[in-house]
Parts: sequence; structure tokens; C-alpha cells
Amino acid sequence: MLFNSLHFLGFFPAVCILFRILPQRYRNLFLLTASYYFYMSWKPVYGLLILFSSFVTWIASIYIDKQSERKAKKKILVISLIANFAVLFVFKDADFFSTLINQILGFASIRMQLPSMELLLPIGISFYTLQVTAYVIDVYRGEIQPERSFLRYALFAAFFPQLVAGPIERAKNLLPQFHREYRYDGKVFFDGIKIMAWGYFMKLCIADRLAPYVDAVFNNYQIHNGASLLLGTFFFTFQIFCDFAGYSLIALGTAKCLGFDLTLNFKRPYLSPDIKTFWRRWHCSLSSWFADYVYIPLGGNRCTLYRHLFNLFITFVISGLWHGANWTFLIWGAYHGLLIIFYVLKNRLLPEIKAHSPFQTIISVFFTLIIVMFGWIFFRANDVEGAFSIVKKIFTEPGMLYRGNGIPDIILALFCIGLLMFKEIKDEMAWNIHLIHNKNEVISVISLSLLISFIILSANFSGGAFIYFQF
Amino acid sequence: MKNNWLKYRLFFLLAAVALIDSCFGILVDFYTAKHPLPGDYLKIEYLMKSSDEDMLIIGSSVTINAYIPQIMEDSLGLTCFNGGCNSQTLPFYQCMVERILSRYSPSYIVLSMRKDDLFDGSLGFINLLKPYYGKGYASIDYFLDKQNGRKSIFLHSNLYRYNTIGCRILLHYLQSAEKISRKGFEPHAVPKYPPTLINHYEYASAYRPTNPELEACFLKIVDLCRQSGVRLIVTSPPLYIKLPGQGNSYEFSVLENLCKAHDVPFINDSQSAFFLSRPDLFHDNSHLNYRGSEIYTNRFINELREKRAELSFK
Repeated sequence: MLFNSLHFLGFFPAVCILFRILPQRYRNLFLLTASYYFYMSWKPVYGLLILFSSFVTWIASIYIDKQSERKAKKKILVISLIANFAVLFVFKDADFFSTLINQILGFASIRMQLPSMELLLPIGISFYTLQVTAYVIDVYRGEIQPERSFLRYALFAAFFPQLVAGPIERAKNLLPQFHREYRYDGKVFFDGIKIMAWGYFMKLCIADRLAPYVDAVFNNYQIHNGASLLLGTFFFTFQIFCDFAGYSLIALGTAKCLGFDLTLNFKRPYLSPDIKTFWRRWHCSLSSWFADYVYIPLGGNRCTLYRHLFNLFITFVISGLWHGANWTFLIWGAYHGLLIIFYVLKNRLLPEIKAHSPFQTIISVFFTLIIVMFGWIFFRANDVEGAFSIVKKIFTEPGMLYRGNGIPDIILALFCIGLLMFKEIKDEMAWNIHLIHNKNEVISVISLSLLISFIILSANFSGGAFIYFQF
Repeated sequence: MKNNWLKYRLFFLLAAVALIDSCFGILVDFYTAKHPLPGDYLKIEYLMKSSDEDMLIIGSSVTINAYIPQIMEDSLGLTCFNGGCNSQTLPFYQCMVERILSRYSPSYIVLSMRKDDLFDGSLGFINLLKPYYGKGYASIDYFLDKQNGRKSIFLHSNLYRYNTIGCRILLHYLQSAEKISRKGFEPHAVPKYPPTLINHYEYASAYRPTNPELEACFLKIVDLCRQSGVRLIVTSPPLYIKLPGQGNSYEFSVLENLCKAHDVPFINDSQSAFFLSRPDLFHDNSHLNYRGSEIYTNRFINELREKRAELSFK
């Protein structure tokens, strides 16, 4: 089920009402049922995969807790990790590697072909796999106590607002909330609606409005000139941000309406003055997952400089591959790994170079945005050859802009981007201007009604799924 | 008191949105009473409300770039308008024909059709007609309800029906006034690189069932024209695609048989050997460039003249 579907428009109020009127002891069971319904309305059989992941990690956590020897704990941990990542690998990466192996075998003139499985990727598998594996690692590390109730744990693994595209929640944040008694608070509920409305604005008015232009340009880059490809890249920079951050906000708002707090996944990433800050603000739940479960176990920065740089690079390459086994993602990850390495080296070798004045900060933010934008070309291109052709065309083929669905659509998209960036800057600078979050409830309700009306008036309702569903 | 207000803020929010929606509807109705809707709607409004030409050409984007009304007027001695609209198919054509014939009877309606017009799985980009929903146009309401299914409940919202059009109306005042130039014809530039031939010539042209809804639209158009004494001509402009079945595609043979059965002349230039040998006359594989349109329009006029006995051209 998509957040931007009619189905969800019926599902969400029904869940809110039933959740409120049910006795406390049935609420978690109800939410679990609703979450599985939410997920299985797409492809019922894939509900079994979440159930499998949930059960394996839950059992593993119980057994890890029971063991006194570290070796035995580790054994159980490894088994549960292999079981989870094997499922992820089979559905997500197996075809890429079988093609790669077949190519290598072909070069070596060996007549053997690995079959292609062509399985339909279960939506959200990368997200919930990371969430449940983080849980079992945390139990192994002794950072949290295992959850004894399978029902509660299964709900943690499949909680519908964040099930298919995050935020990747940590057990210590979300699990305790399923122990709490729910009390309806009209203000909290209304705050949830406000967050959802802004998420829908980002998704429907910006991401989905930009998508046709981006798709037209990137999927047919051969017939477009550098100017159109540059505008397409600029648009994709905002499309992916608004698509993903929009989803995360809708998830956050939905959970809030039910009385749960999720992690804020995006913290004004395009206002970052450097690449390190960008990664602290972009997809925070994934960045912190990779920091805690890949980068630090590799040695983090408590090692030699070379090893530190290697750890950073490998972490980014793996995070690139997490998006999908594809050369474009690998290059994108490696590109960001190199940027972080340059950043670390610059800070070591030239620590005095830092933005001090507001003007210098603006230049730094602008420069960071440009290097991030450049990386998105590799992320969005259909293949590596296409990505390099697009880069070449941007620098060598000026010309008239492709107009897509027409100038009004472009102007409308730019206007919405302007609104978004104004809000981002306002929040960054902590300006005391509030409309939908105004303390005066009258102003708040009027602003929210205007925002909702604007969304209905300018959204692209024929947009598709969220980009991150494919990961 | 304050607590009560807070308790019902969701209700007030919905009421405020409904109020804004109604006010917006009143504003747009006031505006549209005096001005046509801008952008793509200029042509639709013209076809529905003010066209008075002897010959109207109706079709999709292929049509917009294929027929030059000025050449046709000069050669045939009758007034002509190219009413092609992007991404449209038979339901849209039916709605337009109904609106036109409810006002006057042109001498000819040229219906320009694509190979798949009777076979498409959907009703096309009929949502373009959302602003006319609930305004007393039965066919438009019917097709929009059909296309939107359960979503058609939103069609009662003014904001939803005029989605993005509000922005176009505002922009209309910021840029130079739009008008329909060249009697509806929009020339395509000659591209830097001519298109590459899509060759399906050797493929078999397999049986496909027609979409009954679309076939009904076609028959309705035939029927409406007959009742109003309008001569309907079905055409298909040149493509730079060699169609399956060695050029005799199943889809066109169905259309041809349908036309024959209802005594409608069918001029099919989609596989014209001349155009298939001239990539320089195309903008892409389906659309002619302005050089191609000039040549094609003249050839089309000659084809009409060849059928003068049944069409009574001069």
C-alpha cells in the first residue's frame, strides 16, 4: 500500500479510530495485524519474509541472552545474520552477481552459465533487514535486553509507518514505546497531521512534479543536450530528496498520530556546509546504522590514518551497494567515500581553512550542494556508460532547454522548490516565523488548510511509488 | 471554550479546506465565464465553444504536426482547423465531436487515428477534461468517472479538477497572451539527427481483441456524424516505422473493415513508401517535421481529390 494511494486514505483513518477505541491489551495485536495488512496488500506471500526475519532474530536474541559464553553468543549471532542477509542477497543481488560471474566465465571461455532468478524484489526488504539485524547485534553487545514478547517484537519489525522505506529504527527507541499505555492527545495527533501534510507537499508537489522531466531526460539522454541534462540533474537532486524525505515525514506523522515517535531521517541536508555534515543530515537512520555496525567494527578512526581512510571508503562503497547491486550505485558510493577522504585529509593538512563569515558559509553550502548534485548523476543514470555520457554532455553540449510538459510545470516545480528551501533556511537559521506550527491555533489551522488546498491544486496525482521502495 | 475549539480542530481544518475549495470554484467560474482556460485548453475551448470551420481535423499529437490548415484552405477552398490534442484517443474525440455537433455541423470531420486507437487498454489522457466535469457534458462525466473509478469522488473538488490549471491561469498574465496560431497546426523542428527506422516489417501481425469501449466510441462518432449530415473521413498520417505483417498490420485492417462496413472513407498513409524512404521529413518516428507536414498535407489534399466523387470536393 502506498502512502499516496486512495487505499491509504481509507486505511489510515480506520486504523486511527480503531486503535483509539480498542482496549489497551489489544492495541499492539491490532497494529501488528494492520501492519501486515498494509504490507501484504501489495504481495501477500512476501509477508512471510518479514515473519521469517522477525522470528529468526527474535529467537536468536533470546538464545544469545541465555548463553553465558561469548563464543556461543557469537555463533548464534552469525547464524541469524547469515539467515537474514542471505534472504536479502537472494532477492536483491543474486542476479547481478550471477551476471557478473557469467561474464567472467565467458571471458575465460568456460561454457557454464549460472541461471538468472529474476525474482520480484520485496518492497522494504533492505530496510527491515537492517532494522532486525541491528536489534540482534545490540542484544549480542549487551546494549539492550531481548524482547520477550514475540508480538511486540514482530510489531517492532513490521510497524507499518516505517516498514517499507524507513526510518530504520533502533530497538532502544521504538520497542519501549510498544510497552507504554496509549493516551490520545489531540495536540499530538494534530501535530502528526501537520508533519504528514508537509511530507505530502514534498512528495506530490515537488518529487512527483519533477519526475516526468527527470525520467524523460535521463531515460533518453542521447537525444538531450547538456543544458537539459543539467536541469534534469538539478531536478533529480530535489526529486530524490523530496521523495525520500517526504516519505519519511509521512511515516513520522502517521506514527505520531498513533502516539509513536520515530527518528527524524533528514535534517536539512542541502544546507550542509561540508560533505561530512551532509551525511549526518541525509538519511540519518541509515548513516548511523552504517557507522555503528560497519564503520566502527572495522576500526573507525581509532587506528592509523590509512586504515581510517580505508574504513571510511569501504563503508561508503557498502552503503552504495546497499541501494542495489549495480555499478552505478557502487560508483556513487565510492565517489562519496572519496569526498569524505578528501574532507578528512583537508582537515588534517589544512585545519585553518574553515568557513567563518556568513558569505563563506553560503559558498561552502553551495559548493557542497554542487558536489552532491554531481554524485546524483551516477545514482540516477540507468548504467555507467549513460552516466559518463551525461557528464560529458553537460560540459560540452549547450543548447535550448527541453520543456517537458511545458513551462508552467517547470515554473510550478521551481516555485515549490523555492517554498521548500525557504522553510529549510528558516529552520536552519531558527527564524521565529511559524505558520502551520504557529502557537496560535487559529493561524495554525488556517495555514494548514491553505497548505492542503495548495497540495490538491498543484500536486501531480498520477505520480508513482516512492523511489526508495526499490531499495 | 478553548478546549472545545482544540477538540474540534480537525473538523475546522476540513471545513476550512472545503471553504477554500468552494471559493476557488466560484473564482474560476467567474474567470472562465469571461476568458478561455489557457495552455492546452485554448484548443479544447475553441473546439467545444467557438469553432465554425467547414473542416475540422481531430486527433492526437501526430495530427497536430501533420496537417497544415492554411494549405488545405488555399487548395480546397474551405475553412479548416487542426484540432489535434496531445496524448488523446477515441473517448476524447467522441467528447469533442459531440460538443461540436451540438453547436453546428461542419461539412467534414477528419478523424486522424493511430494504429492502436481501437486496441488501447485505457481511455487515454481523458483527465485533461477534468475542468468540464459536472458542467452538463454527459460523455465527459461518463468517461472521467470510468477512468477515475473510486477516485472520481475527488472530481467534486474544484481544487482537484483545476489541479495545475490555477498556476497556468496566473502565468497567463505573466507571459505574453496565448493564442491559437496557425489554425491549430504546430510545426515540429527538423532534428539534428533524423530518426532511425523502426523495422517490424518481418514480424507477424497477430490477432488482438479490440477494446469494446473504444470501438463503441468510434461507432458513436460515425453515428453522430451521419445523423448531423457531416462527412466523416478517417485517416492515418505517415510513420517512420515499418509495421508488422509486411506493412499490413492487423490493427489497421480492423479499422479499415470497420470503416468499410459503415461507408466511411479511410485514407491510410501510415506505410507510405515515399515517407518510409525519407527520414529527413520526420521529427521522430511518429511525428513529421515541418518540411514533412508541408509535403504530407499536399499529398493528403490530392488523395482527398481522388475521392472527390464520394466527398464532393472541388
